[in-house]
Amino acid sequence: MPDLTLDQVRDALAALGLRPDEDDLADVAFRVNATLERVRDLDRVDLDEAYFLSDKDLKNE
Amino acid sequence: MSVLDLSAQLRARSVGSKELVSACLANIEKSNAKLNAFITVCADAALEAATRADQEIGKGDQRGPLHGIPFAVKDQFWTRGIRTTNGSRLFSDFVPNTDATVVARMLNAGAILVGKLNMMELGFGPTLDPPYGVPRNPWDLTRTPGGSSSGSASAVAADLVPVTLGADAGGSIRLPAALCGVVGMKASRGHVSRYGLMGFGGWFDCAGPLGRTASDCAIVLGAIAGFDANDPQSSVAAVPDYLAACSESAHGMRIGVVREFLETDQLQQGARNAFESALAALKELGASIQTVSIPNIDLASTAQTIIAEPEAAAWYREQLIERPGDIDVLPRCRLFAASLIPASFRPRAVRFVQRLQQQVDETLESVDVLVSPTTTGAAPPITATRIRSKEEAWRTVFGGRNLCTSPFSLTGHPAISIPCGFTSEQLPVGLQIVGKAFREDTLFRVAASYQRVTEWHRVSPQTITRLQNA
Repeated sequence: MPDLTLDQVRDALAALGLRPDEDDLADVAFRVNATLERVRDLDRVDLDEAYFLSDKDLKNE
Repeated sequence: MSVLDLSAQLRARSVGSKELVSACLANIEKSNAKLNAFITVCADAALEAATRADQEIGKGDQRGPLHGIPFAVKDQFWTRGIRTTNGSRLFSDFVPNTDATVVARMLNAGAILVGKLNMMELGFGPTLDPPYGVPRNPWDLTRTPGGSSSGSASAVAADLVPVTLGADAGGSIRLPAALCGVVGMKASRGHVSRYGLMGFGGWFDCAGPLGRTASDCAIVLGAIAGFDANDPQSSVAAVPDYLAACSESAHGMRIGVVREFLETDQLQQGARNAFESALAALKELGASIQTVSIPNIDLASTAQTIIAEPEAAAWYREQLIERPGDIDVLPRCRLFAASLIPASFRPRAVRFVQRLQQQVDETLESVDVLVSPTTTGAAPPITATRIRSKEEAWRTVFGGRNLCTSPFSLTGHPAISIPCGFTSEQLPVGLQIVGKAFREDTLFRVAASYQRVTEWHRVSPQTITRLQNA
Protein backbone atom coordinates (compact mmCIF):
# COMPACT_ATOMS: atom_id res chain seq x y z
CA MET A 1 0.00 0.00 0.00
CA PRO A 2 1.61 3.33 -1.00
CA ASP A 3 1.86 6.11 1.56
CA LEU A 4 -0.93 8.64 1.65
CA THR A 5 0.11 12.05 0.33
CA LEU A 6 -0.33 15.26 2.28
CA ASP A 7 -3.25 16.19 0.03
CA GLN A 8 -4.94 12.85 0.64
CA VAL A 9 -4.51 13.19 4.40
CA ARG A 10 -5.82 16.77 4.30
CA ASP A 11 -8.84 15.72 2.23
CA ALA A 12 -9.63 12.72 4.43
CA LEU A 13 -9.52 14.86 7.56
CA ALA A 14 -11.59 17.57 5.90
CA ALA A 15 -14.25 14.97 5.14
CA LEU A 16 -14.47 14.45 8.90
CA GLY A 17 -14.67 18.17 9.55
CA LEU A 18 -11.08 18.31 10.82
CA ARG A 19 -8.75 21.02 9.54
CA PRO A 20 -5.14 20.74 10.74
CA ASP A 21 -2.82 23.59 9.85
CA GLU A 22 0.05 23.01 7.44
CA ASP A 23 2.58 22.53 10.25
CA ASP A 24 0.46 19.74 11.73
CA LEU A 25 -0.27 18.08 8.42
CA ALA A 26 3.17 16.57 7.80
CA ASP A 27 3.30 15.25 11.38
CA VAL A 28 -0.16 13.70 10.98
CA ALA A 29 0.75 12.14 7.62
CA PHE A 30 3.87 10.48 9.08
CA ARG A 31 1.77 9.03 11.90
CA VAL A 32 -1.01 7.80 9.62
CA ASN A 33 1.38 6.16 7.17
CA ALA A 34 3.36 4.53 9.96
CA THR A 35 0.15 3.15 11.42
CA LEU A 36 -1.14 1.83 8.10
CA GLU A 37 2.18 0.12 7.51
CA ARG A 38 2.40 -1.44 10.94
CA VAL A 39 -1.13 -2.85 11.06
CA ARG A 40 -0.13 -5.29 8.35
CA ASP A 41 1.97 -7.10 10.96
CA LEU A 42 -1.23 -8.47 12.42
CA ASP A 43 -1.67 -10.42 9.19
CA ARG A 44 1.20 -12.68 10.22
CA VAL A 45 -0.84 -14.01 13.13
CA ASP A 46 -3.13 -16.96 12.52
CA LEU A 47 -6.26 -15.72 14.21
CA ASP A 48 -8.53 -18.52 13.02
CA GLU A 49 -7.74 -20.40 16.21
CA ALA A 50 -8.79 -17.50 18.39
CA TYR A 51 -11.15 -18.42 21.17
CA PHE A 52 -14.21 -16.50 20.19
CA LEU A 53 -17.45 -16.93 18.31
CA SER A 54 -16.08 -17.07 14.77
CA ASP A 55 -17.88 -16.89 11.47
CA LYS A 56 -17.50 -20.68 11.31
CA ASP A 57 -19.25 -21.10 14.68
CA LEU A 58 -22.08 -18.89 13.52
CA LYS A 59 -22.57 -20.98 10.37
CA ASN A 60 -22.65 -24.17 12.44
CA GLU A 61 -25.42 -22.91 14.68
CA MET B 1 7.62 6.05 55.96
CA SER B 2 4.93 3.55 54.91
CA VAL B 3 1.20 4.06 55.27
CA LEU B 4 1.12 1.26 57.85
CA ASP B 5 3.79 2.95 59.96
CA LEU B 6 2.10 6.33 59.66
CA SER B 7 -1.24 4.80 60.54
CA ALA B 8 0.20 3.16 63.66
CA GLN B 9 1.67 6.50 64.71
CA LEU B 10 -1.66 8.23 64.13
CA ARG B 11 -3.41 5.62 66.25
CA ALA B 12 -0.83 5.99 69.00
CA ARG B 13 -1.20 9.77 68.65
CA SER B 14 2.57 10.16 68.39
CA VAL B 15 1.85 12.16 65.25
CA GLY B 16 -1.26 13.94 64.05
CA SER B 17 -2.86 13.97 60.63
CA LYS B 18 -2.54 17.75 60.56
CA GLU B 19 1.18 17.34 61.18
CA LEU B 20 1.47 14.86 58.30
CA VAL B 21 -0.51 17.05 55.94
CA SER B 22 1.51 20.12 56.92
CA ALA B 23 4.73 18.23 56.20
CA CYS B 24 3.43 17.20 52.78
CA LEU B 25 2.37 20.76 52.00
CA ALA B 26 5.79 22.06 53.05
CA ASN B 27 7.55 19.54 50.80
CA ILE B 28 5.24 20.39 47.90
CA GLU B 29 5.91 24.09 48.43
CA LYS B 30 9.65 23.42 48.42
CA SER B 31 9.88 21.05 45.45
CA ASN B 32 6.94 21.48 43.15
CA ALA B 33 8.28 24.45 41.21
CA LYS B 34 10.99 22.19 39.82
CA LEU B 35 9.16 18.87 39.66
CA ASN B 36 5.77 20.15 38.42
CA ALA B 37 4.18 17.14 40.07
CA PHE B 38 1.07 19.01 41.24
CA ILE B 39 -1.37 21.06 39.20
CA THR B 40 -3.58 22.01 42.15
CA VAL B 41 -2.81 21.94 45.87
CA CYS B 42 -5.81 21.92 48.24
CA ALA B 43 -3.97 23.21 51.31
CA ASP B 44 -6.84 24.73 53.28
CA ALA B 45 -9.32 21.91 52.65
CA ALA B 46 -6.65 19.32 53.45
CA LEU B 47 -5.75 20.98 56.75
CA GLU B 48 -9.43 21.21 57.72
CA ALA B 49 -9.99 17.55 56.88
CA ALA B 50 -6.86 16.57 58.81
CA THR B 51 -8.08 18.46 61.86
CA ARG B 52 -11.37 16.53 61.71
CA ALA B 53 -9.45 13.25 61.29
CA ASP B 54 -7.35 14.03 64.36
CA GLN B 55 -10.50 14.65 66.38
CA GLU B 56 -12.07 11.37 65.23
CA ILE B 57 -8.93 9.33 65.83
CA GLY B 58 -8.54 11.03 69.19
CA LYS B 59 -11.96 9.68 70.15
CA GLY B 60 -10.80 6.16 69.26
CA ASP B 61 -12.74 6.23 66.03
CA GLN B 62 -10.00 5.37 63.50
CA ARG B 63 -11.78 4.09 60.39
CA GLY B 64 -8.85 2.07 59.08
CA PRO B 65 -5.25 2.36 57.93
CA LEU B 66 -5.96 5.27 55.56
CA HIS B 67 -7.67 7.48 58.12
CA GLY B 68 -5.69 10.71 58.37
CA ILE B 69 -3.21 9.69 55.63
CA PRO B 70 -2.50 12.33 52.95
CA PHE B 71 -2.96 11.33 49.31
CA ALA B 72 -3.19 12.96 45.89
CA VAL B 73 -4.81 11.97 42.59
CA LYS B 74 -4.02 12.32 38.92
CA ASP B 75 -5.87 15.33 37.56
CA GLN B 76 -7.89 12.94 35.43
CA PHE B 77 -10.24 12.01 38.29
CA TRP B 78 -13.26 14.15 39.11
CA THR B 79 -13.02 15.89 42.45
CA ARG B 80 -16.10 17.68 43.71
CA GLY B 81 -15.59 21.43 43.83
CA ILE B 82 -11.94 21.12 42.74
CA ARG B 83 -10.81 21.91 39.20
CA THR B 84 -10.08 18.79 37.14
CA THR B 85 -8.05 19.62 34.03
CA ASN B 86 -7.21 16.22 32.52
CA GLY B 87 -3.84 17.87 31.94
CA SER B 88 -5.34 20.03 29.20
CA ARG B 89 -6.33 23.63 28.50
CA LEU B 90 -9.60 22.15 27.24
CA PHE B 91 -10.65 21.58 30.84
CA SER B 92 -8.89 24.48 32.55
CA ASP B 93 -12.21 25.68 34.01
CA PHE B 94 -13.88 22.33 34.62
CA VAL B 95 -15.03 21.88 38.21
CA PRO B 96 -16.93 18.60 38.72
CA ASN B 97 -19.91 18.54 41.04
CA THR B 98 -19.17 15.01 42.21
CA ASP B 99 -16.18 12.84 43.06
CA ALA B 100 -14.90 9.95 41.00
CA THR B 101 -15.81 6.71 42.77
CA VAL B 102 -12.18 6.00 43.67
CA VAL B 103 -11.77 9.48 45.16
CA ALA B 104 -15.01 9.11 47.13
CA ARG B 105 -13.86 5.74 48.46
CA MET B 106 -10.50 7.14 49.57
CA LEU B 107 -12.26 10.01 51.32
CA ASN B 108 -14.72 7.59 52.95
CA ALA B 109 -11.73 5.62 54.23
CA GLY B 110 -10.60 8.84 55.92
CA ALA B 111 -7.68 9.71 53.62
CA ILE B 112 -6.89 13.40 53.17
CA LEU B 113 -6.79 14.80 49.62
CA VAL B 114 -3.91 17.27 49.34
CA GLY B 115 -4.03 17.92 45.61
CA LYS B 116 -4.30 17.04 41.94
CA LEU B 117 -1.35 15.68 40.03
CA ASN B 118 0.20 16.62 36.71
CA MET B 119 -0.08 14.26 33.77
CA MET B 120 0.45 13.97 30.05
CA GLU B 121 -2.28 15.95 28.32
CA LEU B 122 -5.55 13.96 28.10
CA GLY B 123 -3.51 10.91 29.15
CA PHE B 124 -2.44 10.79 25.55
CA GLY B 125 1.31 10.60 25.31
CA PRO B 126 4.15 13.10 25.16
CA THR B 127 3.28 16.78 25.20
CA LEU B 128 5.49 19.42 23.56
CA ASP B 129 4.36 22.29 25.78
CA PRO B 130 2.60 20.83 28.85
CA PRO B 131 -0.08 23.33 29.93
CA TYR B 132 0.68 22.91 33.62
CA GLY B 133 4.46 22.74 33.49
CA VAL B 134 6.92 20.08 32.32
CA PRO B 135 6.73 17.11 34.73
CA ARG B 136 10.26 16.15 35.79
CA ASN B 137 11.79 13.02 37.25
CA PRO B 138 13.02 13.48 40.85
CA TRP B 139 16.01 11.23 40.09
CA ASP B 140 17.20 13.53 37.33
CA LEU B 141 15.36 16.73 36.53
CA THR B 142 16.44 16.59 32.89
CA ARG B 143 14.52 13.34 32.44
CA THR B 144 10.86 12.48 32.13
CA PRO B 145 9.03 10.79 35.00
CA GLY B 146 7.11 8.87 32.33
CA GLY B 147 3.39 8.99 31.96
CA SER B 148 0.72 9.53 31.61
CA SER B 149 0.42 9.43 35.43
CA SER B 150 3.59 11.53 35.66
CA GLY B 151 2.92 13.43 38.89
CA SER B 152 1.37 10.37 40.54
CA ALA B 153 4.76 8.66 40.40
CA SER B 154 7.08 11.62 40.91
CA ALA B 155 5.16 12.87 43.95
CA VAL B 156 5.62 9.53 45.71
CA ALA B 157 9.26 9.24 44.67
CA ALA B 158 9.96 12.74 45.98
CA ASP B 159 8.15 12.04 49.27
CA LEU B 160 5.64 14.78 48.60
CA VAL B 161 2.82 12.41 49.54
CA PRO B 162 2.81 8.74 50.65
CA VAL B 163 0.27 7.37 48.15
CA THR B 164 -1.45 8.53 44.98
CA LEU B 165 -3.97 7.36 42.42
CA GLY B 166 -3.17 7.07 38.73
CA ALA B 167 -4.83 5.65 35.66
CA ASP B 168 -3.46 3.14 33.17
CA ALA B 169 -4.72 2.23 29.70
CA GLY B 170 -1.46 0.86 28.29
CA GLY B 171 1.08 1.33 31.04
CA SER B 172 0.31 4.80 32.37
CA ILE B 173 0.64 3.73 36.02
CA ARG B 174 3.32 1.06 35.66
CA LEU B 175 5.67 3.01 33.35
CA PRO B 176 6.05 6.13 35.52
CA ALA B 177 6.20 3.93 38.62
CA ALA B 178 9.18 2.09 37.12
CA LEU B 179 10.91 5.24 35.89
CA CYS B 180 10.50 6.96 39.26
CA GLY B 181 11.40 3.95 41.43
CA VAL B 182 8.02 3.42 43.12
CA VAL B 183 5.29 0.76 43.12
CA GLY B 184 2.30 1.08 40.80
CA MET B 185 -0.57 -1.30 40.14
CA LYS B 186 -3.16 -1.73 37.43
CA ALA B 187 -5.85 -4.05 38.77
CA SER B 188 -7.94 -6.51 36.78
CA ARG B 189 -10.31 -4.98 34.27
CA GLY B 190 -13.53 -4.10 36.04
CA HIS B 191 -12.13 -4.41 39.56
CA VAL B 192 -11.73 -0.65 40.11
CA SER B 193 -14.45 1.75 39.05
CA ARG B 194 -13.82 4.14 36.14
CA TYR B 195 -16.71 6.40 37.13
CA GLY B 196 -15.38 9.95 37.11
CA LEU B 197 -12.16 8.98 35.32
CA MET B 198 -11.67 11.18 32.25
CA GLY B 199 -10.21 8.41 30.12
CA PHE B 200 -11.20 7.46 26.63
CA GLY B 201 -14.31 5.58 27.70
CA GLY B 202 -12.87 2.44 26.14
CA TRP B 203 -12.00 -1.02 27.39
CA PHE B 204 -8.59 -0.27 28.70
CA ASP B 205 -8.86 2.57 31.23
CA CYS B 206 -8.04 1.38 34.72
CA ALA B 207 -7.50 3.30 37.95
CA GLY B 208 -4.94 2.15 40.48
CA PRO B 209 -2.61 3.02 43.35
CA LEU B 210 1.01 4.15 43.47
CA GLY B 211 3.12 4.08 46.62
CA ARG B 212 6.52 3.28 47.97
CA THR B 213 5.67 -0.30 48.97
CA ALA B 214 3.47 -3.15 47.82
CA SER B 215 1.75 -3.01 51.22
CA ASP B 216 0.82 0.64 50.74
CA CYS B 217 -0.68 -0.16 47.35
CA ALA B 218 -2.50 -3.16 48.85
CA ILE B 219 -4.12 -0.91 51.43
CA VAL B 220 -5.23 1.59 48.80
CA LEU B 221 -6.49 -1.08 46.40
CA GLY B 222 -8.49 -2.62 49.23
CA ALA B 223 -10.18 0.74 49.71
CA ILE B 224 -10.96 1.58 46.07
CA ALA B 225 -11.71 -1.82 44.49
CA GLY B 226 -15.12 -3.44 44.26
CA PHE B 227 -18.40 -3.19 42.39
CA ASP B 228 -19.75 0.20 41.37
CA ALA B 229 -23.11 0.44 39.65
CA ASN B 230 -21.98 3.69 37.99
CA ASP B 231 -19.43 1.83 35.84
CA PRO B 232 -20.97 -0.58 33.31
CA GLN B 233 -17.70 -2.52 33.18
CA SER B 234 -17.57 -2.96 36.95
CA SER B 235 -17.15 -6.49 38.30
CA VAL B 236 -18.82 -8.05 41.32
CA ALA B 237 -15.61 -9.93 42.14
CA ALA B 238 -14.81 -10.01 45.85
CA VAL B 239 -12.18 -7.73 47.37
CA PRO B 240 -10.02 -9.92 49.59
CA ASP B 241 -7.64 -8.72 52.28
CA TYR B 242 -4.73 -7.65 50.10
CA LEU B 243 -2.67 -6.54 53.07
CA ALA B 244 -2.83 -10.06 54.50
CA ALA B 245 -1.46 -11.37 51.19
CA CYS B 246 1.55 -9.10 51.64
CA SER B 247 2.65 -11.05 54.69
CA GLU B 248 2.66 -14.36 52.81
CA SER B 249 5.84 -15.84 51.40
CA ALA B 250 6.70 -16.27 47.74
CA HIS B 251 8.20 -19.65 48.65
CA GLY B 252 6.92 -22.33 46.30
CA MET B 253 5.39 -19.93 43.83
CA ARG B 254 5.82 -20.69 40.14
CA ILE B 255 7.10 -17.71 38.20
CA GLY B 256 7.08 -17.52 34.40
CA VAL B 257 9.54 -15.33 32.53
CA VAL B 258 8.05 -14.14 29.25
CA ARG B 259 10.73 -15.05 26.74
CA GLU B 260 9.60 -12.64 24.01
CA PHE B 261 10.22 -9.59 26.20
CA LEU B 262 13.83 -10.63 26.80
CA GLU B 263 14.52 -11.40 23.17
CA THR B 264 13.70 -7.93 21.92
CA ASP B 265 16.65 -5.78 20.91
CA GLN B 266 14.84 -2.84 22.47
CA LEU B 267 15.67 -4.10 25.98
CA GLN B 268 18.60 -2.06 27.29
CA GLN B 269 21.39 -3.62 29.30
CA GLY B 270 20.66 -1.77 32.54
CA ALA B 271 17.05 -2.96 32.60
CA ARG B 272 18.12 -6.49 31.65
CA ASN B 273 20.73 -6.66 34.43
CA ALA B 274 18.27 -5.43 37.06
CA PHE B 275 15.67 -7.92 35.88
CA GLU B 276 18.09 -10.83 36.06
CA SER B 277 19.10 -9.82 39.59
CA ALA B 278 15.43 -9.69 40.55
CA LEU B 279 14.94 -13.22 39.23
CA ALA B 280 17.86 -14.39 41.33
CA ALA B 281 16.31 -12.79 44.42
CA LEU B 282 12.95 -14.44 43.74
CA LYS B 283 14.68 -17.79 43.32
CA GLU B 284 16.47 -17.20 46.61
CA LEU B 285 13.04 -16.68 48.18
CA GLY B 286 12.10 -20.20 47.14
CA ALA B 287 10.12 -19.44 44.00
CA SER B 288 10.65 -21.62 40.94
CA ILE B 289 11.51 -19.81 37.73
CA GLN B 290 10.65 -21.08 34.28
CA THR B 291 10.63 -19.55 30.83
CA VAL B 292 7.30 -19.28 29.05
CA SER B 293 6.43 -18.17 25.54
CA ILE B 294 3.56 -15.98 24.38
CA PRO B 295 4.06 -15.70 20.61
CA ASN B 296 3.28 -12.36 18.96
CA ILE B 297 2.87 -10.56 22.27
CA ASP B 298 5.03 -7.84 20.72
CA LEU B 299 2.09 -6.94 18.47
CA ALA B 300 -0.08 -5.88 21.39
CA SER B 301 0.64 -2.19 20.97
CA THR B 302 -0.37 -2.43 17.32
CA ALA B 303 -3.72 -3.93 18.25
CA GLN B 304 -4.15 -1.38 20.99
CA THR B 305 -3.47 1.46 18.57
CA ILE B 306 -6.11 0.16 16.16
CA ILE B 307 -8.72 -0.18 18.89
CA ALA B 308 -8.00 2.58 21.39
CA GLU B 309 -6.70 5.49 19.31
CA PRO B 310 -9.85 5.93 17.19
CA GLU B 311 -11.91 5.74 20.40
CA ALA B 312 -9.86 8.61 21.80
CA ALA B 313 -10.28 10.56 18.56
CA ALA B 314 -14.02 10.01 18.72
CA TRP B 315 -14.08 11.07 22.36
CA TYR B 316 -12.38 14.40 21.58
CA ARG B 317 -13.81 14.94 18.09
CA GLU B 318 -15.84 18.01 19.07
CA GLN B 319 -12.81 19.66 20.67
CA LEU B 320 -10.62 18.74 17.68
CA ILE B 321 -13.07 20.55 15.41
CA GLU B 322 -13.84 23.54 17.59
CA ARG B 323 -10.76 24.09 19.78
CA PRO B 324 -7.75 22.39 18.17
CA GLY B 325 -5.49 25.24 19.33
CA ASP B 326 -6.28 24.38 22.95
CA ILE B 327 -4.69 20.94 22.57
CA ASP B 328 -0.90 20.69 22.55
CA VAL B 329 0.57 19.92 19.14
CA LEU B 330 1.65 16.34 19.89
CA PRO B 331 -1.62 14.98 21.31
CA ARG B 332 -3.47 17.04 18.69
CA CYS B 333 -1.55 15.46 15.81
CA ARG B 334 -1.97 12.03 17.40
CA LEU B 335 -5.72 12.58 17.62
CA PHE B 336 -5.89 13.81 14.02
CA ALA B 337 -4.00 10.72 12.88
CA ALA B 338 -6.14 8.46 15.05
CA SER B 339 -9.22 9.87 13.30
CA LEU B 340 -8.01 8.24 10.08
CA ILE B 341 -7.44 4.69 11.35
CA PRO B 342 -10.01 2.66 9.40
CA ALA B 343 -12.71 0.82 11.34
CA SER B 344 -12.15 -2.13 9.01
CA PHE B 345 -8.92 -2.93 10.90
CA ARG B 346 -10.74 -3.25 14.18
CA PRO B 347 -12.24 -6.76 13.92
CA ARG B 348 -8.83 -8.32 13.33
CA ALA B 349 -7.34 -6.35 16.21
CA VAL B 350 -10.17 -7.47 18.48
CA ARG B 351 -9.57 -11.07 17.44
CA PHE B 352 -5.90 -10.61 18.26
CA VAL B 353 -6.82 -9.36 21.73
CA GLN B 354 -9.08 -12.35 22.33
CA ARG B 355 -6.32 -14.68 21.20
CA LEU B 356 -3.79 -12.96 23.43
CA GLN B 357 -6.14 -13.15 26.38
CA GLN B 358 -6.53 -16.88 25.80
CA GLN B 359 -2.74 -17.32 25.53
CA VAL B 360 -2.08 -15.44 28.76
CA ASP B 361 -4.82 -17.37 30.59
CA GLU B 362 -3.38 -20.67 29.37
CA THR B 363 0.15 -19.65 30.35
CA LEU B 364 -1.09 -18.74 33.81
CA GLU B 365 -2.35 -22.30 34.23
CA SER B 366 1.24 -23.55 34.45
CA VAL B 367 2.65 -20.68 36.52
CA ASP B 368 1.25 -18.46 39.27
CA VAL B 369 2.56 -15.17 37.88
CA LEU B 370 4.42 -13.83 34.87
CA VAL B 371 7.34 -11.44 35.22
CA SER B 372 9.15 -9.07 32.88
CA PRO B 373 11.00 -5.78 32.97
CA THR B 374 8.38 -3.02 33.20
CA THR B 375 10.19 -0.83 30.69
CA THR B 376 12.93 -1.49 28.17
CA GLY B 377 15.16 1.09 29.85
CA ALA B 378 15.37 3.89 32.39
CA ALA B 379 13.83 7.35 32.08
CA PRO B 380 14.87 9.05 28.84
CA PRO B 381 15.73 12.76 28.62
CA ILE B 382 12.85 15.20 28.14
CA THR B 383 13.03 15.73 24.39
CA ALA B 384 9.52 15.91 22.98
CA THR B 385 9.55 17.17 19.38
CA ARG B 386 7.28 17.17 16.36
CA ILE B 387 7.35 13.96 14.31
CA ARG B 388 9.69 14.41 11.36
CA SER B 389 9.61 11.04 9.63
CA LYS B 390 7.54 7.91 9.29
CA GLU B 391 10.23 5.95 11.11
CA GLU B 392 10.09 8.37 14.03
CA ALA B 393 6.31 8.10 14.07
CA TRP B 394 6.70 4.35 14.08
CA ARG B 395 8.93 4.50 17.13
CA THR B 396 6.65 7.00 18.86
CA VAL B 397 3.40 5.20 18.18
CA PHE B 398 4.50 1.59 18.37
CA GLY B 399 7.86 1.99 20.05
CA GLY B 400 9.22 0.08 22.98
CA ARG B 401 7.91 2.12 25.87
CA ASN B 402 4.69 0.10 26.18
CA LEU B 403 6.13 -3.19 24.94
CA CYS B 404 5.79 -5.06 28.23
CA THR B 405 2.82 -3.21 29.69
CA SER B 406 0.25 -2.79 26.92
CA PRO B 407 -0.38 -6.56 26.44
CA PHE B 408 -1.92 -6.79 29.90
CA SER B 409 -3.98 -3.65 29.42
CA LEU B 410 -5.43 -5.41 26.40
CA THR B 411 -6.08 -8.69 28.19
CA GLY B 412 -7.29 -7.13 31.45
CA HIS B 413 -4.95 -9.11 33.70
CA PRO B 414 -3.70 -7.39 36.87
CA ALA B 415 -0.12 -6.13 36.81
CA ILE B 416 2.16 -4.39 39.27
CA SER B 417 5.52 -2.68 38.84
CA ILE B 418 7.99 -2.64 41.71
CA PRO B 419 11.45 -1.06 41.86
CA CYS B 420 14.14 -3.66 41.11
CA GLY B 421 17.38 -1.75 40.74
CA PHE B 422 19.24 1.02 39.02
CA THR B 423 21.03 1.49 35.75
CA SER B 424 24.64 2.61 35.55
CA GLU B 425 23.27 6.18 35.35
CA GLN B 426 21.70 5.69 38.81
CA LEU B 427 18.19 5.71 37.37
CA PRO B 428 15.56 3.29 38.68
CA VAL B 429 13.94 0.51 36.66
CA GLY B 430 11.03 -1.77 37.50
CA LEU B 431 9.98 -5.39 37.64
CA GLN B 432 6.49 -6.13 36.30
CA ILE B 433 4.49 -8.98 37.86
CA VAL B 434 1.29 -10.16 36.14
CA GLY B 435 -1.32 -12.50 37.56
CA LYS B 436 -4.59 -14.23 36.87
CA ALA B 437 -7.68 -12.07 36.64
CA PHE B 438 -8.85 -10.93 40.08
CA ARG B 439 -5.86 -12.56 41.77
CA GLU B 440 -4.18 -9.31 42.77
CA ASP B 441 -3.37 -11.06 46.04
CA THR B 442 -0.75 -13.23 44.29
CA LEU B 443 0.93 -10.11 42.91
CA PHE B 444 1.07 -8.52 46.35
CA ARG B 445 2.41 -11.77 47.78
CA VAL B 446 5.34 -11.83 45.34
CA ALA B 447 5.94 -8.08 45.40
CA ALA B 448 5.94 -7.77 49.19
CA SER B 449 8.16 -10.84 49.60
CA TYR B 450 10.63 -9.30 47.17
CA GLN B 451 10.56 -5.96 48.96
CA ARG B 452 11.26 -7.66 52.30
CA VAL B 453 14.64 -8.84 50.99
CA THR B 454 15.58 -5.82 48.85
CA GLU B 455 16.19 -2.16 49.58
CA TRP B 456 15.38 -0.52 46.22
CA HIS B 457 12.13 0.98 47.51
CA ARG B 458 13.92 2.59 50.46
CA VAL B 459 16.28 4.65 48.32
CA SER B 460 15.22 8.27 47.81
CA PRO B 461 16.27 10.47 44.93
CA GLN B 462 19.41 12.49 45.63
CA THR B 463 17.77 15.21 43.62
CA ILE B 464 15.41 15.97 46.46
CA THR B 465 18.25 16.72 48.78
CA ARG B 466 19.68 19.04 46.17
CA LEU B 467 16.27 20.62 45.62
CA GLN B 468 15.74 21.22 49.29
CA ASN B 469 19.18 22.70 49.68
CA ALA B 470 18.83 24.88 46.60
